[in-house]
Amino acid sequence: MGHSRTSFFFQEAANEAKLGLKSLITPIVFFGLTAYMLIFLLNADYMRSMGAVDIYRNSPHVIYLMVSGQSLWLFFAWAWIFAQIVVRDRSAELHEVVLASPISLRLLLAARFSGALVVAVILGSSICVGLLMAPILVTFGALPPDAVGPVPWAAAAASLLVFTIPSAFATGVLFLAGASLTRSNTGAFATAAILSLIWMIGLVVLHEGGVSPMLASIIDPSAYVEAERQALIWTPAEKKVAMIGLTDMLLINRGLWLSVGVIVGGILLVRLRREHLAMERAPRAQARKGASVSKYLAAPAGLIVNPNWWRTLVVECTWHLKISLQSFGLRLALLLLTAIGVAAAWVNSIGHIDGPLVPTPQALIYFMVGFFFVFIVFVVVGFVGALMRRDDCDGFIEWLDTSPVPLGTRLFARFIAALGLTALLCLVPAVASVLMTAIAAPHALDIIYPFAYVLLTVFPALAELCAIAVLAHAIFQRAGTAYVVSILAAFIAIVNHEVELVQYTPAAIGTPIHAYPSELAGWSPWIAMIVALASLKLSLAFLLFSGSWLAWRRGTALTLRDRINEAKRRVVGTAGMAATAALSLVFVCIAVLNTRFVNEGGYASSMDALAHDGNWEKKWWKQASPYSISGGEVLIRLNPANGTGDVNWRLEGVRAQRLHGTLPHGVELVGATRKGMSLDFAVDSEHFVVEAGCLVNCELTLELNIGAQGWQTEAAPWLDTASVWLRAHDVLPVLGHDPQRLVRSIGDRPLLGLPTQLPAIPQAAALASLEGVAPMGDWTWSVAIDSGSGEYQVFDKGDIEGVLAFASIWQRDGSSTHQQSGVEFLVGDARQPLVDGFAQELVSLQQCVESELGGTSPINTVVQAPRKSGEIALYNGVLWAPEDIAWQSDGTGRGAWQRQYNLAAALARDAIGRRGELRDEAGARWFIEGVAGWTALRCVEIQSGFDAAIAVRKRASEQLAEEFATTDKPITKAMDGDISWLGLYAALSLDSWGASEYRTPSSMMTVFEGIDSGDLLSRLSKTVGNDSLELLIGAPRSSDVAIKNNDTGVEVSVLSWVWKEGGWQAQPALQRLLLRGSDMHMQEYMPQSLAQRGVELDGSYLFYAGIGYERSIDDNRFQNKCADTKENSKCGSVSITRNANDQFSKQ
Amino acid sequence: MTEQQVSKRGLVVKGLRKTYKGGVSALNGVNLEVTPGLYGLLGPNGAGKSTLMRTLASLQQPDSGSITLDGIDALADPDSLRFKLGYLPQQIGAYPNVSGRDLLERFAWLKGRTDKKVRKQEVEYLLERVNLERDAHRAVATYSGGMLRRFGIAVALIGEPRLLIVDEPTAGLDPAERSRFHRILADIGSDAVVLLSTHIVEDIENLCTRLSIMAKGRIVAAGTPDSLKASLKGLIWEKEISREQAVPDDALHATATPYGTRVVMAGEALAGYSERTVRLEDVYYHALRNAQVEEV
Repeated sequence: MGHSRTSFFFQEAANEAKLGLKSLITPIVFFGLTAYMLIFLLNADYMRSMGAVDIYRNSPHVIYLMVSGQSLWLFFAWAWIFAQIVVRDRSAELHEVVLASPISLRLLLAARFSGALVVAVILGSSICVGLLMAPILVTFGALPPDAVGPVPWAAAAASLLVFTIPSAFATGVLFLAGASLTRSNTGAFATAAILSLIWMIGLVVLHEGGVSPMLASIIDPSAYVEAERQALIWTPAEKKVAMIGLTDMLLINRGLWLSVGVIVGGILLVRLRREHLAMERAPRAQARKGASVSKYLAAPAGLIVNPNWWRTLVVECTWHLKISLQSFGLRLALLLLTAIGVAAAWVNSIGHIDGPLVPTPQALIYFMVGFFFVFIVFVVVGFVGALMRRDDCDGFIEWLDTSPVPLGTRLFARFIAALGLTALLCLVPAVASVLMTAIAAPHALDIIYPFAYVLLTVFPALAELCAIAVLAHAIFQRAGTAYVVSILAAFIAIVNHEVELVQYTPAAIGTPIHAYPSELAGWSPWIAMIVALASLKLSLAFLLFSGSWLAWRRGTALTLRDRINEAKRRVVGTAGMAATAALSLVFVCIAVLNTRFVNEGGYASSMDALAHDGNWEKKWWKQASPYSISGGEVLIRLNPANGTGDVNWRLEGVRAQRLHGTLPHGVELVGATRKGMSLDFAVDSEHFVVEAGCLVNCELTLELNIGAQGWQTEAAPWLDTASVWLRAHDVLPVLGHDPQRLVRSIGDRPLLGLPTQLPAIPQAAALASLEGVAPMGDWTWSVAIDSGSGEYQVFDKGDIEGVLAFASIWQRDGSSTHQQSGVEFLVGDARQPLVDGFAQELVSLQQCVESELGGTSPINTVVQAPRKSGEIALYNGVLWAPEDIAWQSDGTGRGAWQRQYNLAAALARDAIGRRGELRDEAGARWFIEGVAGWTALRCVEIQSGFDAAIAVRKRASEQLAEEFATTDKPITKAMDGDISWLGLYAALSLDSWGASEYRTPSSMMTVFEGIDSGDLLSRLSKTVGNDSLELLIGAPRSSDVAIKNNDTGVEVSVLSWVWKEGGWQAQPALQRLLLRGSDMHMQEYMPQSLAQRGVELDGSYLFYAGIGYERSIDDNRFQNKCADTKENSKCGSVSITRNANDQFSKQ
Repeated sequence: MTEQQVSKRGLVVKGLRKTYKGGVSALNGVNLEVTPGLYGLLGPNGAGKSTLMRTLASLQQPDSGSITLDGIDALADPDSLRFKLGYLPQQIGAYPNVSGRDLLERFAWLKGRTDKKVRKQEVEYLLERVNLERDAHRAVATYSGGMLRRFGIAVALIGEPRLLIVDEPTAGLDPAERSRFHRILADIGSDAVVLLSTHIVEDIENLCTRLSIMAKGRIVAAGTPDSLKASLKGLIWEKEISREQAVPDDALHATATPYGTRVVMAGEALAGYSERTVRLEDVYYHALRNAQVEEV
């Protein structure tokens, strides 16, 4: 008997696996994902954005992220596979036969589950297979040989063991339980939806919102959050070889879900009865007789003549929507999603890492869309599928197909209903956003904005996915296959959305339109782009619908040939006309978008942009020549209605044989004169040179035309019909050579025909000003607007003694400003309650910066600048404070400290810039960013206390870890660092160095003394010392000090690294440690002096006293143990147990 | 009725052929002329009945042949046919979450009944006609098999079709429902062409004025029940044998009785056999035998 039971188990398991593998769904999923992975590997832009500049495309970290991340989509495929254990028999109406047989139900379920698990794991291995096949891409010449590394067998095996198999087992049990309860796929798919929801809450709310990354890592059913948490801080060198770490959180996560699987599985096996599986749905109780009453009298209607199919279209569409809305599942989904949305918005607003945030509609809706998108995509695909399959019921398809209603009418009605359903689902984020704002910030309530935003930017993307789902159901007769194909498409869209795989916006199918209307600028700068992109997406959706029409099955027993022949017939009919019209619309939209994005907006793929810079370097770099200017006048005339303008820029006291400059995109140099005489000039790669011939002071005039009609998705337009948000660098070329355009990637340089080594940086006098478009001088500027009559009226002007940098704001409907603390605030209604606190903070920070650096500029105006309009900056008395940086905090907590840091850094940057001329020479960016950040850290500490400054340092450390891991430019020296990490790194390392050396930011101002005595680096060397400077501006350094209390005392471990060859390399750590605390004005050194001095340790932090930044600040704090136990002797027995590290894995 | 008259008022099928992928010839030159009234289509499984029905209902395209209804070329202009067509499929599933009235109304607008008031009136009329008016508010999913059939006939009758195709309509119905259904069909057949496909010979015998017997994709016998039966008068014999006795190989058909097996033979008088009053059932088996189709 035992043998027969074992034999049965294996036979049944094998049979289940065989049936699963024979299903059409399995190969579609497997090969679809494998192929997708290969396409993914081919995309250089994406690999760059993943930080894969110096690493292989099939590196282990890609495997971990992809294998764990794909679970989100696999949940739905797995749901189907595990549901078949109970559903397959019912579909074939064999369930009674099977259940009546003398087989143990537990054995049957266990055997089938094992078989299904095999299929699930095979599907889950598809990503691994794709990555393991990466060398094939090299064989076919699709990838260069050095892009692909050795086959990462160990990582693939680890991924399967850590992610795929446990996830498949645990979720498989849940899917089986769901299917068993409902005796259908519904329960399994509902379970998959719930798991997706948990995943979404973990990733978006808890992890990305910084509310509780630990909890996110634990509850995520896919373990993706933990994989991402680990991978995000791996350096490129680590990414090549890293094994996923079995951290506490990962072990808890896997253990938790495996336990859930085991417990639910146990309950299922014990409690599930044959009766339940055999049961038919009980008929509903009949309503009482006579309940069916119609107000219409019965009457024969005769033959049907001249039907109005438009009416049919309307009633059929309405009917489908009505039936969908009657669905309990949909109502429940809408209600739950809205409730979850409000809760998530609340948690995100209050618990956000940069919060608490003001839940304004503009701020909230971006979060809500990001939060909901993944889930709504699957819900849309599911409900649209249900709508398309509604008539899949014996006899009804035949009735529909024998009805005289034109097929197009029938399908279009259904398509419109599907779109209506999609629109309804995409309104959920808007509803949740409105509710949250009404609850938490009623003064900022704007009902229209969130609804308009989702309908204009999210709905068109979902409409594309909806149309893909419709097409899948049109092509595939089997519902399961159609669902799988449409969910696969949804998954690909989600990946594109999450990782921005497709960078050219018009090509990002199924991805919401990126647009950032802000409170003051409103929709006007974005609306044309949104409409054009939405038109493309809707046209594409219509094209896909036309394809569905061509492919739709009408009739029975159709062969492929029948369907092809029918499609051919339809091509020459209305369906073909609809497809042609849609295709034409798509082409028109593509042409318009291409013009606006590429020709006028300057879009280039990262490879094209790199090639562009390579050409620039080859042509222009060696021609750099010194120039000087004493000042001049800028006359700007703008025509907002046309998006055009011109500039007359008079330069005085020019000394330059040739004057070089870099034109901003959309600005064209049309003339250059010297005392009225035309000068020769050349323009190439957005760089110009004017043959100035000014050996002594002379006066030049540059004539520039502005064309600002181009579109960009990630930068706010500065000029539109309703407003102007102008900064000098938007309309004026930056004079001098710009070293930031040099191609710094050693790997890319030979490919572009450039020498491997970076060229020498010319003397500072040839370079661009660091903070302005032109060096220090006496400047005047004015901006005039064409009011529509052809006459220009000056609306803003100013004088500058310093670098040429200014900002000017014009609003067609007038600007509503008000005074606070002597400063004019141009802010929206939603921010009015914050103005008072903002103004007070500004005054305090100004005083702080003044005391730290001396000489700050007055602030006349504070502007709530549009979202995505850069960083906070002070331009000639105008504080440019972008809405998404300066106005999202409610003025309390960590968000307020972060804002203080950003504001103080901006003020400090301006103060430094006023102290003397800074060109973009070696070390200049490091200097200004570092000193400004250092000053800002001190100001946060002065203003909000030690803990606030620690919180800012901690946040900066976390951001740096991510930036080092994901930067798309190679990391060599700090002074050549990319701006994405340079500022924070320089600030933290200077802060640490300054504390160790008893230095303050003001001491750095000596670099401006004797400014003509040498280059910046030599002056910096005099200021900070040769050795320190070498370390400060050299390769990035980091440390990790960890304090652990144990029975014998306090154990301190110290680790130190330097960045080398693409990663952190361990180096011997110094013995010196730095003690910092709230009541400490001096620093102490460990361990020698600590005990003797009797310093109160509780709440103090230990830092590494070398140069670099602390990677993990949480464990640097002395705990409360001494205060509680009065064991001061123990506190005094601080010992350093490890002072050097051998390898990074020890961290 | 002359052929010209039939072609103007009725269904004419000529030379209809359909071969499935794999070489199965489902229709092998089917010819039919059907005037208003109930017309039966008998045949064993695989005879091509369903293929013929689906082809007539515009659900399949024949390889060759022609179909005209009231003079309209149904293959060239299937939409015109669909206006005049009512179709009752063999299986009707339990459509979820929609009431009978709502679903019937939906099929009415899909059939072109786009005037709301007229449509609603027709829906009530049809519900009354099939005796579902008291249950019209109930979800179709809760209907019994008989109610589903009646609902199906209501759907098929929207727009007063000239051709009603009914495929195995009484399978699975209890006697009362079956009887009720027959009455409805008979009522409809007074004006329209009702093509009734079934295995149940008795249904055709009771209802149809004319019938065809199909086998191997072609019509092997056609006529009125009486004429077909008359053609075998004096040629059908029967005898009851015990269960132990073997049924003769050349038996036309055999049916079980409480005490044995009734064997029916065709041909000249046989010893021990008594002449049998010819039934349509005998005609059916005789036609199949002539067509060399085994169905004993």
